[in-house]
Amino acid sequence: MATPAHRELARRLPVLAARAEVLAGIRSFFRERGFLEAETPARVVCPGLEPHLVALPAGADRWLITSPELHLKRLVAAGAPRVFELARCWRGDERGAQHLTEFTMLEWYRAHAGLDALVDDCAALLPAAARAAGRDPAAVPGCDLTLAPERLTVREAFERWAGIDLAACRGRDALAAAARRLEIPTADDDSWDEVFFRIFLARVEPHLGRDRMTFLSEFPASQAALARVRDDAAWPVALRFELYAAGVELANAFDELTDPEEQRRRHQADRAARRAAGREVPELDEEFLAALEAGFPPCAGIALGVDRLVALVLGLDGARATVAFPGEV
Amino acid sequence: MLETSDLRKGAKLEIEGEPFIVVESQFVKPGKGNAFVRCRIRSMTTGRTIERTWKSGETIDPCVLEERPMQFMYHEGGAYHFMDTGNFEQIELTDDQLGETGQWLTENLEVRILLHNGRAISVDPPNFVELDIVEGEPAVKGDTKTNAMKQVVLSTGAKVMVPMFVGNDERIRIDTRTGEYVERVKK
Repeated sequence: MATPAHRELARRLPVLAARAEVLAGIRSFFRERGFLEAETPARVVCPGLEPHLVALPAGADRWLITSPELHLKRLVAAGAPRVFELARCWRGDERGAQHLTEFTMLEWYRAHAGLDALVDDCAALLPAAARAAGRDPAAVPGCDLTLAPERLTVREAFERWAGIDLAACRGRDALAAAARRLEIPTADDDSWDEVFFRIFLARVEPHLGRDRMTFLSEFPASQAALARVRDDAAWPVALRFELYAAGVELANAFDELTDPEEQRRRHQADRAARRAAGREVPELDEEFLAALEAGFPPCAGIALGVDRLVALVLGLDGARATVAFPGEV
Repeated sequence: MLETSDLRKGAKLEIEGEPFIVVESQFVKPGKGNAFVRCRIRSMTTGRTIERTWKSGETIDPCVLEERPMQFMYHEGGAYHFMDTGNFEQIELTDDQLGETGQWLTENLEVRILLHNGRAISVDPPNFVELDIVEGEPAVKGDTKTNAMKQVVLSTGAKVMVPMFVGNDERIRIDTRTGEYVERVKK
């Protein structure tokens, strides 16, 4: 006897078939461009240290990866000029229509390349993913993937959608006052970044990737993670971009930090921030730092949420609708 | 206190003394930032819908509502008047606040009133009420098979659709949740 759960799963099969086509399309896309497909460990000593990510424990002194970044960079350091991975990643405490605790990430790295090369990759990959799923890239709901993408800096986006010049609001109180003028409530213990995100979520993000892809670049230096920073005195920015389509953030790209000293400093700062926030504090990945010290080429890298990409090209309501067992991840 | 994880659809909260209900909520987490919950919330007093975003870890005032059984007394000057039959306390709600609910109220009807800080914000009539037809086409005898309907006017002014065989001097039972005819009842 078919139970309701069986029938529900049976109804999902066409979605899973289309999803499998997208995955196959992604692999062909990168193979055709001379990328090495990598498989890196899922249980690691250092799962990534960004202060806002919750890593899940996986046995003594091991964690499930929140991203395959550190191991992929070791492959780049070893001389792989182009490398990609379709990696299962885990982020505790993240659950919603667009957030799965266990999700599929596509990461790729290009040695001796900058962010523009990754913009070009994305602009070609998204239509290819739609075609792989048997969909017309010009008819994807909410975003025509064949139109020339919009390119915008964070500062321009805040100016345009919120009427705020971020360079003139570099103090926390100045930015909070600007938020209040827009009737966006703030909390007394908000940091500058938290006020920034309140404004971003209320006024800026809803406009991104509407009708066409948006590449949003030059984030505040405080949100650099492992990206290089351009130390402009008036407005220092992290050299990274985020890709938006149909109002949803799909990918996060970095002009990668290559300086081992600076890398170690940022990792230690992230560990201190995690300790202060009462989060788990994994060890440093000394193998990764040693690889950087041995010599790391200039490099650009990007992480793209595959579940969200599948949802976009199939016109489904969020990443969760694209997996076989949405109630269990 | 409510936490951001409690902000699911249907949750009730209070902002600066105004009661709201969550219409839609979404977990969001910007690329390099902390988690937020973005909600659309509707004021339970004015009906206006707004967007609000809370940072994960923030606390939100819960909304405490009190439900009291009351009796409908009369409608006058754009307001409906009710009385608590226990302590004889009287309250009134405007036509706007009642909306469609007003058309089911007859004198002495028992209703449940939702109060927020002593102020009435909504009225729940019984699920079924019985009302007299005062206007409509006469009954079409024997027509109990077809699905044809006709409109009649009830003693409260409400207009409902009834089957053709219902006479224009009968009393009928209405489901107030859907506004639909249920059956004929004896006067």
